[in-house]
Order: sequence, then C-alpha cells, then structure tokens
Amino acid sequence: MAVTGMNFTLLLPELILVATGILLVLLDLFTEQKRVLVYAGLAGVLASLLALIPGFGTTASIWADMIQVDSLAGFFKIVFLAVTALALLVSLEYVERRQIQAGEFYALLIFATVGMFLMASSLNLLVIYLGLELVAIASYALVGLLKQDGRSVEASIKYLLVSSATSAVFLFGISLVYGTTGSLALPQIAQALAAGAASQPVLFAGMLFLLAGLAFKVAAFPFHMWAPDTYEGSPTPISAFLITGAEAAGFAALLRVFLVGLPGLADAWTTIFAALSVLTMTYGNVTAISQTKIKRLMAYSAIAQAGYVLVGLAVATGQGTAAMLYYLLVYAFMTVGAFAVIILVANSGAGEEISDFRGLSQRSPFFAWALVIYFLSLIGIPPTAGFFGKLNLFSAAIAADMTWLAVVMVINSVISAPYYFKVIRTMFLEEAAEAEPVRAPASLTWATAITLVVTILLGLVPDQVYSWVRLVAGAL
Amino acid sequence: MLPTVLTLPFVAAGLVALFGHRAGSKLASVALAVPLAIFAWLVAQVGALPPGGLVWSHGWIEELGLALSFRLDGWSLLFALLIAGIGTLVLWYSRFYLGPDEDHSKFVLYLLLFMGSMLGVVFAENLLVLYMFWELTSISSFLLIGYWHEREASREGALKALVITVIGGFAMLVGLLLLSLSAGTLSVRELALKASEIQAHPFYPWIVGLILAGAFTKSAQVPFHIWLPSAMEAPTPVSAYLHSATMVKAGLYLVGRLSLVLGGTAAWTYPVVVVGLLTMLVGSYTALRQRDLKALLAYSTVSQLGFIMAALGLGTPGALGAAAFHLFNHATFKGALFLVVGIVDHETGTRDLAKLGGLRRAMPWSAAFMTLSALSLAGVPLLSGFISKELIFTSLVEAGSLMGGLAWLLPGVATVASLLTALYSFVLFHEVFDGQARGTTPRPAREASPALLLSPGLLTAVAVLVGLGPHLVTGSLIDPAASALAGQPVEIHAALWHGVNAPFLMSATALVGALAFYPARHRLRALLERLTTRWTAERAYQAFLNGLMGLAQRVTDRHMTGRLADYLLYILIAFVVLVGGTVLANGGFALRPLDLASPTVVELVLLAAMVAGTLFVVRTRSGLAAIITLGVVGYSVVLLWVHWQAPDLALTQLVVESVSVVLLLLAFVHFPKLERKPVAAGRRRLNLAVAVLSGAMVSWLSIRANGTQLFEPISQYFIENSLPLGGGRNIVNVILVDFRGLDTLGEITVLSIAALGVYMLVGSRIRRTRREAAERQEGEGL
Repeated sequence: MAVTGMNFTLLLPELILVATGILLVLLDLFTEQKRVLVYAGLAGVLASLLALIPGFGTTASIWADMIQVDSLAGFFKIVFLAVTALALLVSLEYVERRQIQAGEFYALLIFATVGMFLMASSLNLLVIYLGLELVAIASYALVGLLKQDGRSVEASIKYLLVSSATSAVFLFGISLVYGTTGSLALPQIAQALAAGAASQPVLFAGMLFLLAGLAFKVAAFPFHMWAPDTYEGSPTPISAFLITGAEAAGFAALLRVFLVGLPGLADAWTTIFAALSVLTMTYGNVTAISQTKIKRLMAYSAIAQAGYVLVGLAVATGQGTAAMLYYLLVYAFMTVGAFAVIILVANSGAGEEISDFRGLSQRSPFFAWALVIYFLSLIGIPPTAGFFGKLNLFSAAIAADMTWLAVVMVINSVISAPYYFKVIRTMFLEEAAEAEPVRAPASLTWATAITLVVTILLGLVPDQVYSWVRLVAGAL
Repeated sequence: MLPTVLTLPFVAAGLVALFGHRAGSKLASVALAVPLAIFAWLVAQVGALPPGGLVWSHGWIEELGLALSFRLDGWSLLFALLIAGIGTLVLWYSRFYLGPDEDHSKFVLYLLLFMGSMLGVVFAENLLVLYMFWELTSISSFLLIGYWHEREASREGALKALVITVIGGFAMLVGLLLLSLSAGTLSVRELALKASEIQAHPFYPWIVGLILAGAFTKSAQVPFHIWLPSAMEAPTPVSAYLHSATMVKAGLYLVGRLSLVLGGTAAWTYPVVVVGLLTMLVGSYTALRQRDLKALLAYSTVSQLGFIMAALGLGTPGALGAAAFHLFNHATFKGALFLVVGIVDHETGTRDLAKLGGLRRAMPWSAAFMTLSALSLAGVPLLSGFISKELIFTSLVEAGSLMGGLAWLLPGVATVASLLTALYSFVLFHEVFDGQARGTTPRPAREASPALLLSPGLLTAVAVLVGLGPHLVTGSLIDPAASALAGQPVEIHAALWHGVNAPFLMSATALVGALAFYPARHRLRALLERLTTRWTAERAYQAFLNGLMGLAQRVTDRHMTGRLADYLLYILIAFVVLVGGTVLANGGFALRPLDLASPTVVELVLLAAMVAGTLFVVRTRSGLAAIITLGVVGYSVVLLWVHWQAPDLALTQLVVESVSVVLLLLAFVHFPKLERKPVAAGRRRLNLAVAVLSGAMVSWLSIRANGTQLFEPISQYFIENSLPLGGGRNIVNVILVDFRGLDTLGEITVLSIAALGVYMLVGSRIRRTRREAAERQEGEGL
C-alpha cells in the first residue's frame, strides 16, 4: 500500500525521539537525580518502538519522497532502538562514576539515534547525508565527553577531522551522481542508470565517493584508521553505541544506495566490496592479535566483523542481504553485551587492559561466562547466534559462486579465535590480583542478561527472525 | 526417548552449575546417576534397534530446510555405549582422584557438558547438527584441559588443542557447506542415496579434503597430532575419557559415518589409509621415546587412532568391522591404562619412568590391571587387542594384494608399527612394576583404595573377557555398527585362532621382534632421540603463532601510527587506487574536447597567485604565515567571483574567508608550538606523488563533470518568472524572499538560535572569569 502526503503517524517514532531528546535536556536542568534521565530516555525509546507498530508492513513515502517507511527501515529502527536502550542501561553507572554531564550525554545519544533513523529510512541521497551528519556531529561531542581525559579529547578531534574529510567526499559523490543522473532520489537514479547513464566514467567516481563516505562510517579498510583511536578514547558506552548502532546505520545506507540506487553498476561495486571485505576482515583480525587493551581489541574486532558483513554486499543477492541483516542484528547484541562486561570491569576499579580481566571467573562468574558466550558468538562457534549469522554469510557467498570468499571468511574466523581466547584464558585461567567479588549494578546485569538471552536464542531458534529478515531483504 | 537422553546431561549440568557447590566432593557420585541411566537405556537398545535405527526429528530452521534430527543406529550405539559407560567409570574414579579441596562442581559440570556434546555428535543425523555438537566438544575439552589452570603448561595445552581443533572444525564446516551445495541436503541418510551424484560433482575433491581436515585434527592424525600430547596436562580421568576413549574418536566416527557417502574412491581411500598408517608409525615410535608415562600413552593413542583410521579408509565390510572392533577394544584397554597411570601418579607422586620401578609388591592390583591392559595393547593372544588387530591385518593384506609389487607395503608398515607398539607396551608394566623397588618416588608407593581401583579393574575385565570370548560383543555390538557403515549386513569372523596365515605371521613377527629388541630398548630409545630432535609439526605450529603475532605487531606499528597525516595519506592512496582503477576499467580518462573560452589575463594572474600561495603554505615553517597565506588564496577566489560578476558569491566568500582567518589567528595563540618531525626522503616522494595524483584526479573529474549537462539549468525559469511572479527585477532577491522564502526563514531561524548559543557561551565564560577574579581577590584579601 503506497501512501503519500503528510502522514505524521508514520513519522511518530522519529518525533517521539526528538521530543525525548529535548525533554532530557530540560529534565537535566531541573533534577539532581540523573538516573531519571535514563528512565525517561528508556521510556522514550519504548514509546518510539510502540509507535513503529502502526507503520509495520506498510510501504509509504512522506514529504515528497524524502522519507521512506518500509520493512527495511522498520528492521533497522528496531535494531537502533535496541542498541540505544542498551546503551542507556550500560551508561547509567558509568556516567555517574565519571561525572559526565548527564544531560548532554543522554540527549546527544537520542539525537544520534534520530540521525540513524534518517539514514535508514530515506531513498534520497541528501536526506541520507543529513542523517549521517546528524549522527556524526552528535558523536563528535559524545566521544569527547570525558573532558579530563586527553585520550577522549584526542579521539574526538581525530574523529571530527577524518569524518569531515570523508563527509566532504560523500557530498562530492552526491553531486557527481546528481550531475550525471539528474536526480537525488535513488529509484530515479536507478532508472537513469538503466536508461544509459551507466556508461559515464564520472559516475563511477561518484559511486566510489559515496562508497568511501559510507565505508568510513562502517570502519571498512582502508577508511578504518579512526576507529581504534576513537573507540579507545571515547566513553565506553559510546564506543558500544557507535560500534553497533552507527555502524548498522552505515550498512543501512550502503544497502539503500547500492542495491536500490546503483544496481546498474553492480558489476563494478560487487568486485570492490568483495576486495574491501577480504581486506577489512583480514586486517582487523590480524591487528587484533597484538592488542593489549580490551577496547582496542574490540575496535579491531569490529573492523573484522564489518568485513564479514560486507560479504553480503559483495554477493548482492537477496540471500546476501538477509544474511547481512541477520548478522547486524546478532552483532549488535553480542557486542553491546561484551561492552557491558567491559564496563563492569572498568567500573570495578580495574582498568581497560586485557590483564585487568584476570580471575573474573572467580570475581563474577556470571559476567565471565556471559563474555565467553559473546566471544564464542563473535568467533562463530555453535550454538551461538554468531555461528548462525556467519553460516548465512557463508551460504550466501557459496550460493553466489563466490566460494573463495567463504573460504577467506573461514580462515579469518580461525585467525580470530586466538585473540578472543586470550581474554577468555585471562578470565578463567589467571588468578585475580584481588579476590573480592565484583559488585554489579542492576542496570548492567539487566543489559547483560538481555543480550545474553538474545545471543543464545538467535543461535538456537533462529527460524522466526530469519524468516523475517528474508522478507525484509526480499522487499528491498 | 532420544532427545530425553540427549538433554539429560545438559539438564544435569545446569543443576550442577546452580547447586553443585553444595554437594562438595560427593557430587561426582551423585552425578554418576546420569551416565549410568543413559548406559542402562542404551544397553536395552542392543539388539532391539529397528533396521535403519531409531529416528527422531523436529523442524528447526525451516527457511534452510534444517531439522534437528537424530538417529541411533549400530555405529552410534557403539559410541554412545562407550561414552556413557566409560563416562560412568570416569566420574566414579574422579570422585576419589580429585582431592577434597579441588573444585568438584566445576569438574563435574564440564564433564557433563562434554558428555552431552559427545552424545550429540554421535546421535546427529544432520551433519550441521553434528558440527554444532562437534564444536561444543572442543570447547568443553578446552575447559577440562585447563582445569588445573594454575599451571602454565595446562593453559598452553588447552589453547593449542583448541586452536588446532577449531581450525579443523572451520575447514570441516566449509566442506559441509560444499557438500550441501552439491547434494542439496545434509542428512546423512539422504546423502548416502546421492553418493554417486556427489562423487561426480566438481566440488568432490574439496569436500573430501576439507571434511578429512576436520576429522584428522579431531582424531590427532599426522601432522595435526601435536595437540594431543599437550592436552595431557588435563587431570588423568579427563585424558582417559576425552583424549583416549571418546572425543579423539569423533574423527573416526565421522570418517566411518561418511564412508558410504564419500568413500569407495581413490580420493578418499588413499589419504585416509596413508595418513592413518603414517600416524600409526609416527605415534608408536614417538611413544617409545617418552619417559613420562602419560606422554607415552598419549602418543600410543595417536598411533592406535591412526591404525583404526587406516582400517576405516580401506572401507571393505571386513575392514569396517575390524575397525569398529578395535575401536571398542582400544577404548577399554587404553582407558584402563590411563586410569592406572593416574593411580600410580596419585600414589607415588610421579609419572617419570626414571623414578618408577618395582611397584608390583606395593601395588599388586594396579600391576595386574596395567599388565593385562598393556598386553592387550601389544596384541598378545587371549586378550581383546590381539583379535581386533588380527582382523585389521587381514584387511590390510587383502588390500595389499591389489597393489601388485607393493603388496608388502601396507602390511609391512603396520607390522613395524605393531612391533614398536608391543615394545613400549612391555615398558609400561615391566619398567614400572617389575624389578627392584628403587625408592626414588616422591611418596612411598602404596596400593590405592578399592574405590579408585574399581574403574580400571572393570575396564581390564572387559579387555580380558572380550579376548577370551569375542562373541560376547561381536554379534550384538560390532556387527550392527559395521553394518550401519557398510550399508549391508556385515559379520566379522572374530576367533582366537585362524590358523597360520599372513595376519598371524605379522602378529607373531611384531611380538617376537619386540621381545628380541626389548633388552636393547634403551639404546633404541637413545637412537630415536638422536634421529629426531625436534618436532617439525610442533615447530610449524609455533612458527604460525609467532608469525601471526609478528605480522600483527608490524602492521600495527607501521599503519596505526596515531598520526592524522599518515591516516590522510592512506585514505588518499585508497582513493587514487580505487577511483583510478575503476575509471580505467570502465571507459578510461579520455576527455571530450573542451569548448570553453580561453582564460583572460586577470584570471591567469589570480590563478598564479593562488598556486603561489598554496605552495607557500606547504613550504613555510611559520604557522602564522601559513594562516595568512591561506587567506590570500581565499581572497583570490573572491576576486575571481568579482571578475565573473557574481557579487553575492563574492560577498559570501569574503565574509567566510575573513571570519575563518580571524578565528584561526585567535585560536592560534592557544595552540601548542608546532613541532616538525623530519620526514624521510622516500616518504616525502610518496607524499608528493599521492598529492599530485589526487589533484590530477580531482581536476579530471571537474573538467569531465563540466562536460555533462543532462537538463536545462533552472536559472532560465527564474529569469523569466521573477518579474511576473515575484514582482522584482533583482532575481537573487526574489529567489531569497519569494521563491525560496521558507528556506530563508529556516536559515534565519537556525542562525538566530546559533547566535543565542554563542551569546550564552560567551556570557557564561565572562561570568566565570569574573567569578574567578572575585575569588582570587577574596583569597588575596584573606
């Protein structure tokens, strides 16, 4: 069913989030109890989630085709809301301990989510760019909110500079594509390509600039250099939020731009994505091996995981897209879960070195076991969700006659095993410096429990969710 | 019933995780009920299985056509009985083996997890389901090997075992995916029906190679066998259970299971038989070199696994039956050997052959069990090992007879390996138990409690009984197992005496040779030690780990410097390569002839100023001069706009340039002093090349893009309509306040809000400065 014109109910999820963000800023002025902000934020996220329901299953475009409400947007919005809710939960204790300005922190988090919404639910290049910038600008500030910590400020500046450069590249790409196809709307661009615009060399440059801009967002090689520095320096909940949410938003935009807008150039970009995918996963996994800081390890691991997800674009089939979506969903939960444990350890007074995880199995068996499950899932060992996610990607690659890509993925999975196991070994097989049990706040326990259940369930009973992502991918 | 049996260990593990610590050291005897109940149920199934086995299936992932399906047939039943039976004995044994202070609940938890996973492997009907349980066994093995985690060697061993089996597991996964692609299913039964189709598929060699890689790593075949000796850091009951009786046999299970699907071709038979025999040979002569009893048993296990693997590879009904029989026998007598070594270690405090000797007097029962089991391993008549070894020899001789001039090769290698096996088997009981007591053990030797002796005793009893009456198990257990593999009824002819034939001569040669060499064993050992100083496979594994680590370090040091200038360089290189490559591949850089007006003098002068300014910015060492020169470049652009009669653009640019120069200058005061690190000449040249290439590419893009005009510019519309629709002659004005009035309103609003923000920021700063000044004054006043 196609609906046109001003339909505000379809925009309600975004509007609720914006209202929540503003509310948080105001609340911050009037309350000393900063926990209230988290509860209000969670309520806003929940309300936004409920507001998504009426639009579910419909395909509609609003505001002269600027905003697109469809199943893909619905899928990604659910992922973003889940990530935001979990980020709010894991931040509660962290923000209090480090005396971060709570109002700014939570409000920016919500506004960044709005940006992600825009990135996932538009078929217009300019709106996608707007969403991208909204996420980016909120992130610059979020990354630098640990003002006393030099690394945080440095991370913020680096992120700002590199990100601005790639944003400019993305804009340049938009103008080149617009100049050669005469439209900013992805369906029209696809039509122009089919009508013969695909033969213009300038268009290839435009495509590559779009690709580079978005590859930067998902931290794909060779646009990934900012990621370890930024994720290491920023407040840990923000690392988790960016590594999962912002990255998923980047993939949403990649899917839209390339599958909807530029299918006419698929011959060229599938090759490029395949190459980027291989380079990204290999680079991420190899460099992760030598890391001694847990957040840097997670950053390189995130680069590697982005490489796996890119396989879905390299094969450019419905099956590939479904595999991507499933993996992104799984990835969000297992990664935020892992970060919840990292935050717990950091809050307990230990640092963010891998050696600080010594003896966690004795100090807090639940969290240690949870981290084991997340890591097994990140490696792709059954019966976790990560296994099923990777299996889908393997199958998609093999079905698309790219068996070599599946083989490279497998080799990479093997390379990745030692560095995850290094942490597991540290937790289980090394004695803690202090034997005191770690006190876990309820918020972190909840976040871990939720992500843990999802990580296991998506591996054991993936049927329902997988059918859903198949539908979503089919509708793209 | 099948799913109940399968979930039972996991449920029990869950209960142990929750309540286990309350039971203390008695936990193992309580948990014992689980494998015992499973064992009882399995025994009831012996002889009662329907043809094709007991099947249970449940839809799982419909989208992929994947079902949770399990089947219990003869082959699975043989394994399941070993898993549950030896599991029971091992749990009983470990209750007394582990000290009262050790963490029993963790041990029992891991062991139950392993048991459930292993049962899953042998019950799985779908290969993907099998793979999932397969990996679970690796993980529980990792936890069990690392159980004594305070030991460094224990951690290393656990990690090595895991890395190697996970690598193999992933290889196997790809093999399975290729298999499912070529056959459209992963159900073992359906695959068997499509065997010829699969074997004709171009993927076939890959499927075989990858799946065998998985099986070989799991079953510690050469050259992947290096993890098994390292895994011996685990507590001895774990070694007995996982690394001898069950888990390492998973590879054998898979090879057997798939022999109907993939077997019967040269691509399958040759690698399996050759690797199997090679493993047997390497394992047995390495075992002979060992002085640590457990290491000896570990290599002995490697060797015997190779022996069974070779028999499975032959694939004839007789060979499959022999393999199944020897697998059963090996599990029992090797289990007994491990448990007795555990007792010796437990009671004397050492496993070192140099310190042990003459324990028979102090430990008569242990000595008896060890002797009988070791003789069974050596292949001495009247014991179980003899019969099954003879059967495998028979198959090897048959297979050899097809090889013409090389007929002696397979039996010959097996005989030599058997000789070595017999040799170290004699060492096992003779050096430990016979001769004079040396009194060099850390603790004085004494016999273990009857409770501890029960498990090895039962296992030894099985080895003896089966040796005397092989029909106890062959008809009910071994024949159904072999039949399930062969896809046709198989009946093995196990007998104590077959007459003087080739297999008997091989056995006799091995035993007599071993007896003859036994007195010279020390010299032989010394010779072997000189022959092979280092393990090449071990070295390769270390080199692989170190290489990976070194590569990681180099990439991180070189690439992730943390300097933005470097990052920018890498990004630009990527652009040049990506854009240049793609454009070259899709039409090239050709430019259409330009139909532009030739530049005027003014334009040339301004251009020259811009180029000169840019060069100066790059070359200057003064930051201040760079900022000002940057301004000069900007103002040249302003002049260009003026020259082209675009006052609005010129004004905008002017304001932007002025503001940014002023802001930069203001901020400059607060900057730390710029340090210029010397840049290597090579790097300089690279920078220059990348800069020139990027510039050239952007120039090409601009010119090329300029040549494209798809549609009429919109300016014509405004020129025609600004007077009739907007009522104004100044087109720019009309556009701003009329055609795009709402846009302008929006812009004004945004600017106002930004201005308010700036006002607030400046205001708060001023207030803070004042407050601080006031505080300082107060401070001085005090």
